[in-house]
Amino acid sequence: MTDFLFTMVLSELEDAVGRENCSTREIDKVAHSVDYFWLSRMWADRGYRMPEADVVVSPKDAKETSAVLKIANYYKIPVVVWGAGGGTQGGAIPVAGGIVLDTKRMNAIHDFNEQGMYIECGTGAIYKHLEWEANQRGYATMHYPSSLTCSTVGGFLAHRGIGVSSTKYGKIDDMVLQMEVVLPNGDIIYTSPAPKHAAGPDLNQIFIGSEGTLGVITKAQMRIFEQPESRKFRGFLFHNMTDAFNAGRELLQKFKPSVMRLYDEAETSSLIKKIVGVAKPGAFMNIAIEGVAELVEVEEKILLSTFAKYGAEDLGSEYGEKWWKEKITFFYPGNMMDLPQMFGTMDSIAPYGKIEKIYWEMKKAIETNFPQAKFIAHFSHWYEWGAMIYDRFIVEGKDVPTDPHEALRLHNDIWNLGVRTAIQHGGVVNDHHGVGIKLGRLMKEQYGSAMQVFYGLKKELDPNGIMNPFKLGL
Amino acid sequence: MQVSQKSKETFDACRFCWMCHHICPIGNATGHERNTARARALSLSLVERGGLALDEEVSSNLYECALCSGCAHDCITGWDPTKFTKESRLAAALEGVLPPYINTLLDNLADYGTPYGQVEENAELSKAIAALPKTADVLLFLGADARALYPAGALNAIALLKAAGVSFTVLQDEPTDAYASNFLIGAAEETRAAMKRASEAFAPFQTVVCYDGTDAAAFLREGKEWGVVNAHIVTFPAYVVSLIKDGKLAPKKGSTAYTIQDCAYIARELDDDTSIRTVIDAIGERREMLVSGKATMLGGQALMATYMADVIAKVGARRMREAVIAGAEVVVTENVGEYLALSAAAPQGVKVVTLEEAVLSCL
Repeated sequence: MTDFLFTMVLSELEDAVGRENCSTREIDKVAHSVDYFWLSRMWADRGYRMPEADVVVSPKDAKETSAVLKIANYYKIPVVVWGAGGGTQGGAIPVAGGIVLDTKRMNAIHDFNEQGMYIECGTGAIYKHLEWEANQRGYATMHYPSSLTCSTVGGFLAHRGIGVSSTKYGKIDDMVLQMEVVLPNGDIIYTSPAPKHAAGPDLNQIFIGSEGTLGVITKAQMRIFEQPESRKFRGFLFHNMTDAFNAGRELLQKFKPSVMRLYDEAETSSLIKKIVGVAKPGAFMNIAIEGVAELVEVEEKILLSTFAKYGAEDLGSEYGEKWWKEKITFFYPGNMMDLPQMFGTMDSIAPYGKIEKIYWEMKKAIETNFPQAKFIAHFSHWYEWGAMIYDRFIVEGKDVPTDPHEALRLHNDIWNLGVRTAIQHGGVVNDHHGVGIKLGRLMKEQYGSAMQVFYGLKKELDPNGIMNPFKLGL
Repeated sequence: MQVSQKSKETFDACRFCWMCHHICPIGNATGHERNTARARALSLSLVERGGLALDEEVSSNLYECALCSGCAHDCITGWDPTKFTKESRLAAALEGVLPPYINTLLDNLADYGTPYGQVEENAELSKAIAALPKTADVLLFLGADARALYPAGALNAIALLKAAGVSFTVLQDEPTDAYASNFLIGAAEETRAAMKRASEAFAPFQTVVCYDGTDAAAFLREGKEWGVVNAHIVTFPAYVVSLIKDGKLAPKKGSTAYTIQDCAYIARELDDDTSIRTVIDAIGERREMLVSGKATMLGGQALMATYMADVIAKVGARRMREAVIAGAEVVVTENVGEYLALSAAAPQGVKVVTLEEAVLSCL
């Protein structure tokens, strides 16, 4: 694009959102070029600049967002939606330049609706602010991921996020009622006023997880819950993973705890030992039960009797309470993996009949083919039908190539092997971190000819292909 | 870039960490990604690695931080982004890449002793100061913010100390604003010299009462740390507590509910969120916001309001909204910057008062 044309486009964007909300400053471009994706971090760590936007715009609402998308569509300029940039999959990186549309000016709380049990807010709101809003009125959002304080409502919706209490309260896609979405052509639409219906396919679920490739979610009604009357924790130590899976599966046929987290032996003897203090060999499992006090009493009895059948050692409530207190501590600098290490969280999900097999096969594949990599895992989100693996590979800094291009290749080779192993054994490419540019190439292997459904949606909604190009395999 | 190894380690730790995103009052108000501690750290780490130049753009982003330490307080593993921000401000000054509006404030400091330039002092305040004895055991240090921006607060502070029968004085010409220098260029020679001048001016007095929490924090933290301030300095809220405990002030406890806006600089940097509560408990009911005490969220900043007034107005409006949700009827503040921003944002039915105003109303 010529300087003249770029300046013309820029003046249109400034007209749409206000000059002060439209930036070509280098500091803004840099700030929007690196997210939590290991490759972007590594690139910056080596002193290289990641791909940057040509302009960063911050619309205040759907109307301004619409104006931006109309301009982008006319000039066929890529648009990448940016929440707070805490994603791990490179989903918010403007790899093709163009416009970064930062949603954080759309952070207003529009309605606290106690009757309907939801907060209506702009999707640029940090989720922790919703939690504060709810807490001040005696409620809670019950969406507690490690990124609670650093991610936006829109960010969680865009990649189908999940929190630690998901077993009882659900994923982010269970927590949303109606949404306002701006389509790539600038049209502003609303999904159905109720999330469960028989009026055709669910519009919410088309846009949730679409990672900004099909439009921009600008407003959402997020569910709130009454604070539980009682919340009890219980830590257990299982002899092996098989017993733990069977115990967890059986428990979920009886009732739903809020927190269910099983750590493999490697993670129990490392992270759990360091942060929570469990120093015994085995697989640590933490359970939280919450709700009406009388029900919690009954559920606790069921929990103890069920897990006893599988030989679990009851560690009491202390470790679980410590874990709850420290649930985000794991992710602070100093506790979390960091450069110069290479690392990644491959999270996969599958039914009970397959999940343990996937774990062992992934572990074997990674450790056999990449002996420099350590493989640790926990299972942090459980359903009546299956569970997810939060499996990580870690390569120590001394084993990471110094050439960033070589480091990128090794990183992608490990990811390819891990995710392909999961797919091959009946798992899904990802549970809750999303796809982004990191896993886009593997989407076709996951879905095969089913990808045509996504292609069809993309082609119809975004014929110029401006929305978040090269993400989600679209 | 001339910053310490500790700062380099800190911005390298912070550049890929998003955990304090929610707590930044400036970032929350602007919605600008660059205003996060993470983005600021990333830019500095790139400067250090040669991927980005330390220029006016980078340095201007350093000044879009209130140094309120909300991020540092929230960091479980103990990193302090304000440290590298302050050191980098000095580095930018040394490299001559400060934004023009900061140079103006520094020029004002050099020429007039305050960042606000040549401001004619409020006549009533001048008269009140002139009427005070020239020598006394106690010095009330009003600070540039009160003298230039909120003389009514300074007058109330004088009135309260008089009501307590304290033998005190106020310097006609207070020494150059060390707090502002510290805020703008950190540990520069100019700041040390300002601290030293202040220390010399304080020497004749047994006690120095800092009216504004921002000044108190600068003297008590950096001033003491650098060994240039030796005076016995107390914050205004702490001094009021001592006056009540000594029976010199005997406020009547009323039924007014006060919602406390903790001064971040007093609560966090001086580790004192109890003095204001002790005072409030003596005069009325206490009402707390959800995020308060040492975890408080900034509600305004006088110096920053000179160069980003619209943002500070939003900071005040956001904080006022939180106060309203907490049921605020009267919000009580501990520094001028927050008083001004919150007053401007107060909806009908909500009153903002300074601590001395609240106590005076109960005498």
